[in-house]
Amino acid sequence: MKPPRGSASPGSSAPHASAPKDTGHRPASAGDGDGRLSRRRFLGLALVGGAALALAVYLPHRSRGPAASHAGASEDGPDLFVHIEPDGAVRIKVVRSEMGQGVRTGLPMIVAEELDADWSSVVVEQGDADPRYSMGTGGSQSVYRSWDLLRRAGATLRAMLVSAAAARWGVDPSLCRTHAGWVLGPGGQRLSYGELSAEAAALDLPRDVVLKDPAAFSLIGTTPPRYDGEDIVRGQAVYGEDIRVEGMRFASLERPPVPGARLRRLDDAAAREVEGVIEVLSLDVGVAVVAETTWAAFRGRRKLKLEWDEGDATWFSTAEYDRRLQDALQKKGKTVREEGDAERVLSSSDLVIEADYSVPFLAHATMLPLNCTARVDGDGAEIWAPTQFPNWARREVLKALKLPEEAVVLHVPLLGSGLGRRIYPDIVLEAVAVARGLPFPVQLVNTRADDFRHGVYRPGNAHRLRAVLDEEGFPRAWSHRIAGPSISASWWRRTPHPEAYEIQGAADLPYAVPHLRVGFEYVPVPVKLGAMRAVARVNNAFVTESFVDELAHAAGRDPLQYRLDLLERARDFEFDGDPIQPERIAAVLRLAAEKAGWGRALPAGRGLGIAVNSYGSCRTITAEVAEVEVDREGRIRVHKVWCAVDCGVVVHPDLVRAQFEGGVVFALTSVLESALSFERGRARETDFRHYPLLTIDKTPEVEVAFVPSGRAPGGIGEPPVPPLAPAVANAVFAATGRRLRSLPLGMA
Amino acid sequence: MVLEIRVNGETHTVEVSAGMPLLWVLRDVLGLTGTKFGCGQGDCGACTVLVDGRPRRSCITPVESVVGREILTIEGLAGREMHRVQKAWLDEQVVQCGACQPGMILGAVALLQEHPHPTDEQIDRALAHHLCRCGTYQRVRRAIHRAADEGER
Ligand code: FES
Ligand code: FES
Repeated sequence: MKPPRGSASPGSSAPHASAPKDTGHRPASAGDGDGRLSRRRFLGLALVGGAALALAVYLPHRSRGPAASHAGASEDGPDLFVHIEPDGAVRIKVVRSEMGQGVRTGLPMIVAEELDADWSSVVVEQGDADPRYSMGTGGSQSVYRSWDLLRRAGATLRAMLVSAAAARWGVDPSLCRTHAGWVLGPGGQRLSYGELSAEAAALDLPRDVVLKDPAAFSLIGTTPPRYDGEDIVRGQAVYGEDIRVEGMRFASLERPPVPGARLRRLDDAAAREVEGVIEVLSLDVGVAVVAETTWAAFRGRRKLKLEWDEGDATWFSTAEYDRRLQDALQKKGKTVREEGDAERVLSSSDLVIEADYSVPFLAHATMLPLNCTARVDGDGAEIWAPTQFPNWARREVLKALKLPEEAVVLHVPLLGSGLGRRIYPDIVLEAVAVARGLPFPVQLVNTRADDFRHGVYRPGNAHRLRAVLDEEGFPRAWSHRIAGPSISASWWRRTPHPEAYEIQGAADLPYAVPHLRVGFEYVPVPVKLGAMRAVARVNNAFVTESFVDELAHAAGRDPLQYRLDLLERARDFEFDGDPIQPERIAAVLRLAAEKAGWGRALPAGRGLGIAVNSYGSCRTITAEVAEVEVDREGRIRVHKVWCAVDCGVVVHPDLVRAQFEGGVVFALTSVLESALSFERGRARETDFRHYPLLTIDKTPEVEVAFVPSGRAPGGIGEPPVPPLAPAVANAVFAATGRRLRSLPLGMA
Repeated sequence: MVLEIRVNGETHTVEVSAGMPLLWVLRDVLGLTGTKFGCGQGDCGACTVLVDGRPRRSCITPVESVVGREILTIEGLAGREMHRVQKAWLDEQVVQCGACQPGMILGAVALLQEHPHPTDEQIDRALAHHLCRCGTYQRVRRAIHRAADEGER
């Protein structure tokens, strides 16, 4: 998904400092104690006034798309601070949420590389929400969007330290070198960065700094340990649900069971009897049970007697919705890409290859259920929210409580996986609504079932693909109709662009087709929809890369060579501002095929499948080959997945590998295991028994190979996901001759 | 009701309601939040602790049932030094979001007690009900093998 433009600020505490002692309200301006960005900003960099050398970095923001507007845009502020402490420590404050993708390691490494810092002296901190700072994590764009600027930030600090040292020694700065936190003079002198910090702080921001030749990188491309690891394995890391604040209680919230339902009758007598229950609150957001422990709150909630007017949304069931989608597929839908006249070619040919695909709704199922801790009193609010977009949450709280800017402080503890769900501020507003009526802080914790029932789901949809091949077997016409709901419209019912997300990965088809049309027919649903890791590209890659495979087989061609030939004939173009580069795509396909030994003989029941995805918005291209076995009972087992990736410069290869290993597991979960269905407006699968996640025993070996590149680093969080489903489906076809066109794949 | 339980080598007197799962006693009464709440239904393994050395899902373990037993949570695993499983976890850079990891690590510790050199199949069997949404499984396997090798020295 695309990152909303945020605005934010670092608070004064590290995320881990949320212990009971840390409960006082702080003015929002309490930044680092040195938060005066008094001097001029130059190309995204500004010195921070103070006795030691410190730099604020303003990363470029791309604010387009619905997510951008709903996070709201305000004046942008720094995303990162770099402080050179007098003791030599390099303190980097990253104003981005850490969800497990290692943002806290990758971004600082780039700064440290150009700074020539000693990595062991780098201390990374997490910032809190504050309107002066930019923040938002999503869209796999954290590194790609920041590359140049982060390098310049490091190089700028380095140049200032060198100038300070050269001045002290009375030598020309060009005669000085730097190494691991030291400036080395021509006569063997040396001064540490810490010693030079104060003097460097008095200098002006240099205008031209020289960046390193990438061949000279000594930190980038290595794999230093990830920040935070030790706290986590010791059980000391503080996630949202681990926040403990003096006097706080716990709450569980019974929400309307169906969107739009209204409470008709509440009998809370039995709930109040439950040992440990303190209060039952009937609120707009639902009925909250507040108790001494989470368990008492859960128990009390089960004793509530509630009657709801369920409203109109109860029509929504998977069976009914599938019928509506089938009707919608008959329509052409809104044209979102058109070249030539595909519909004419298709209607005048009697050799049309046609296939319908379908993909179910999915729930994020983050490892830790949603939660938020809040204290609201006469002076304002203090909130601990494990959120991907703290500033969106904070802004919504300001609106809801009608408070002035400085009265709300929002801390960001660790998330416990985000996957897109923690972009949305619903739980934060609910926690505030509960806390508002209480004289003590409260932690609102979802049950696992709450998370499934009140999700912001990945849209399921239906696809009709039709093609006509030319004499050589290549598509002369290609039509892709998508019928389904809309993420944008679930937030703004009257958006003129309900297709904004849903066509990503379909309308930017990279292959050469003279007559090409992609259409979208919007079919509303009453439930909330949102971004989930790799968003619409997951569905669209499954559909388009499976269908290309179908065409290759119809043409009697090898699926790899067929794709390469189609790319060979294709031209570079831009879609929605993002480059589609067939030559790069072909190189990635070749690398994946080479690693997997494409074309080798396999035992009966086994097959290889290949698929590729060019993830335009984060500049990364991924091809995957899956080796799959289908047994006599039709059980599908994925033995190995080879990933080839062109993600530009690989900052931290091990971190990228980890994202691919995890991305494959995440994708395979929805390829083999889980789907969300609805009945009477409600999600039917509400626990891990009915919505299983892939387990260790079904996890394939994952191997990752990189296309060497000097480009700015691309995103790595989302790109591993889209090619996996089609690679597996294509492998199942290779193994069995059966084409599976709906997820999860089932041979039954 | 007032109970005495042994957690990480210390005795705690706690006042709790009957039937309260150990998970919530640890997290909400004792403030030991290293043990995670993932589902509360015994399905995910995030809440795993060791009771007399055996893995137990604390979210479905009534606290009364562990009176007089030795409970080990992730906070108590490291002595003055980190446990070899924790070290192996860092060496293999297993952690992503980290939420499942305390439970996973304790599951691995119990496995290594039973099988000092587990095969991949034994690892799979022992951890098949530990969910990791970030998909760290491949590294979990590697880290367990590494910890097993360390155990030899
Ligand atoms: S929280 Fe106990 S098994 Fe999930
Ligand atoms: S590391 Fe995130 S759930 Fe396992």
